Amino acid sequence: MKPWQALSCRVLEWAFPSTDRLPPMDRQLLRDRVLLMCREAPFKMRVALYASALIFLLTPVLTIGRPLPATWLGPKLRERHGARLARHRVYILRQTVVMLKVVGGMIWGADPAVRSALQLRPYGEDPGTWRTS
Amino acid sequence: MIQLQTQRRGRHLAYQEGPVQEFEADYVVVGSGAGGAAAGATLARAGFEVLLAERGPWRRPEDYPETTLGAARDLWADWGQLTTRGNSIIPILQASVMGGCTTINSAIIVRTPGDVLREWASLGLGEVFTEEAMGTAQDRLDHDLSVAASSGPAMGPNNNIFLESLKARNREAHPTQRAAHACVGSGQCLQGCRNKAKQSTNVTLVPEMMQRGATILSCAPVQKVWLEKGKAVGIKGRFRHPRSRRFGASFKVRARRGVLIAASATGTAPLLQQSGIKLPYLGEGFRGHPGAGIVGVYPSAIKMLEGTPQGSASIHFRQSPGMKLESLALPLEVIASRVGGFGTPLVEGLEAYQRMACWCAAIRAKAVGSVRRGFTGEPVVRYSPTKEDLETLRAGLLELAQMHFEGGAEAVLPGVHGLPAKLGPADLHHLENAPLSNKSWTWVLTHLFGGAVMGADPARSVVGPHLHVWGVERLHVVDASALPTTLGVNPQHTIMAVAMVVAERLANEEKKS
Repeated sequence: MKPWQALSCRVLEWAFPSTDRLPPMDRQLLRDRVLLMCREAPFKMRVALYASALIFLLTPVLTIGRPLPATWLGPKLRERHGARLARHRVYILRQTVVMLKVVGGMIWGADPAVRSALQLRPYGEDPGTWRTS
Repeated sequence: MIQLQTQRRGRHLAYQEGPVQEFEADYVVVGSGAGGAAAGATLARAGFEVLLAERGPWRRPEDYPETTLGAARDLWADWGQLTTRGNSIIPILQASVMGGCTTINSAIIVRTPGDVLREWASLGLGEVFTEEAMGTAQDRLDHDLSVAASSGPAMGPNNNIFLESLKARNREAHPTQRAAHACVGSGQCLQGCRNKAKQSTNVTLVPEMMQRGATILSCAPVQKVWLEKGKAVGIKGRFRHPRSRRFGASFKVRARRGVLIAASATGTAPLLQQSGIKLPYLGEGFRGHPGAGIVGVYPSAIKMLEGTPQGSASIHFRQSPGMKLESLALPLEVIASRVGGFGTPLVEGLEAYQRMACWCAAIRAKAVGSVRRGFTGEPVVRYSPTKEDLETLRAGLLELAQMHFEGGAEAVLPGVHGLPAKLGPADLHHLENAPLSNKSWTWVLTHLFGGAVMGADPARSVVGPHLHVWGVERLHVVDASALPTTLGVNPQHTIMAVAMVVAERLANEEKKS
């Protein structure tokens, strides 16, 4: 996994942590899905994901006044940073959080453990097939 | 449902590699969505040899994905990443698969409102699209596509509460009419119907065309219309692998009688531009029904995905201020982006998923934009809702919030920047005074129209009243890009009927000559 892919996974994990009621996102599922996107998604989408993760990493100084990368923050401060970035007055900055939630939501919401905890039907595998004749 | 006796068998070719593939047919149709499939089937029924080219792969219900990520990859155009360019980023959801948007929509069928046909008549289009002609075409479609009102398991609590709340407020309310046969309400319209209930064109009209002898090309994006001496004589394109996106063999199709373009409101105008057609209004007149949803959080389980995602609607406000209200069940994966916060507060908010109901307002927007071919060939859509559109949307979301509280919701999640993430019944003044800035709202653009609009004046349109492209012989546009106005209702039925009326006329003229 390349550094920007690993960073994307990390930020998505921060966006969707475990709670008292819901389990954490399956790391292997997250890794597989991010790699799938990196392999098959359009270039624009991949760039948007990496850029959003990078902006999240580098902007705590703009949101909570800490000149540190988000990796160095504790969970509470990091969540405060995320919440403030999501409400930031600069449109493009808050759109990065939308991008993280869209991508992360598609992976987190398909996690069998999360779905089971919410009493939702588990998904089967996506066949990825098409008619060839 | 369509049932055929015997006909000559056609053929289907998916991604091909190797030397240039050459074909010939009476008519060539580009695009297999509502317009392309309806026009192609009409011509095939009239006995013509038809070739249909679709840029996406042909997926059967057993090939459909289960997850939303799978739907983005396998069904949606560009993984759902096409957006408008303007003063805000608005996602445009389109399909890139056999059947086009009929594969991923909720199959809602609404007859073309009389006021729309009268408006078209005032633009000089009344001779072709009469109430009688459109009604006859829509009667046939209703029969062929098993159109019926949502009922039984297709309803579910989300749709029923929506209807009851509308009635409690004395608003028009109805279960949606849908092209679905024995819908069991699995809530999976957006991922394609694995239960084979939805009568999308990939399981109805396109197989019918094949049974009538048509050639179907899938994974076959068309790069240009082949023009010779001011006449459309065919199409040229190149197969593209649906997963690797690698280009395969080139293909050329010669059309003996004509070419019909139905590449969607974001695809048709760029294709005509790429083909060297220069008309002053080409790419202009792009319109749509932008909309937004509001989530209600209820004290007990709603189980939003039980039932069809859009099983009930209201056209109470269609004329004034110009919007349609609908129930809209969203999967967990999608609703995650609508809940406020980040990290623990976000996931804690999502714990209430089974108690959420999502309803939306789609605006009959006044905004007019444009669509052009970008440097890399992708469509560039410039479109920004106007202040009046924002006022309409705000009024729509306020109405929906009030309906949620009428239905017993504890809170609503407006998803508007600058407002609290959650509003209680006493907090609606926040929504009433929500900022009128596009950047504050979470829009989605659906029901696209224009780019190659029809009209009587070549200076203000791209196609004439018979959908023939001005200045080019034997070239027609038969999709939503030809529609000159918004409809204020779901457009599938209108697009199909318009395509059928024009294709029937073409067939009759050819037979006479």
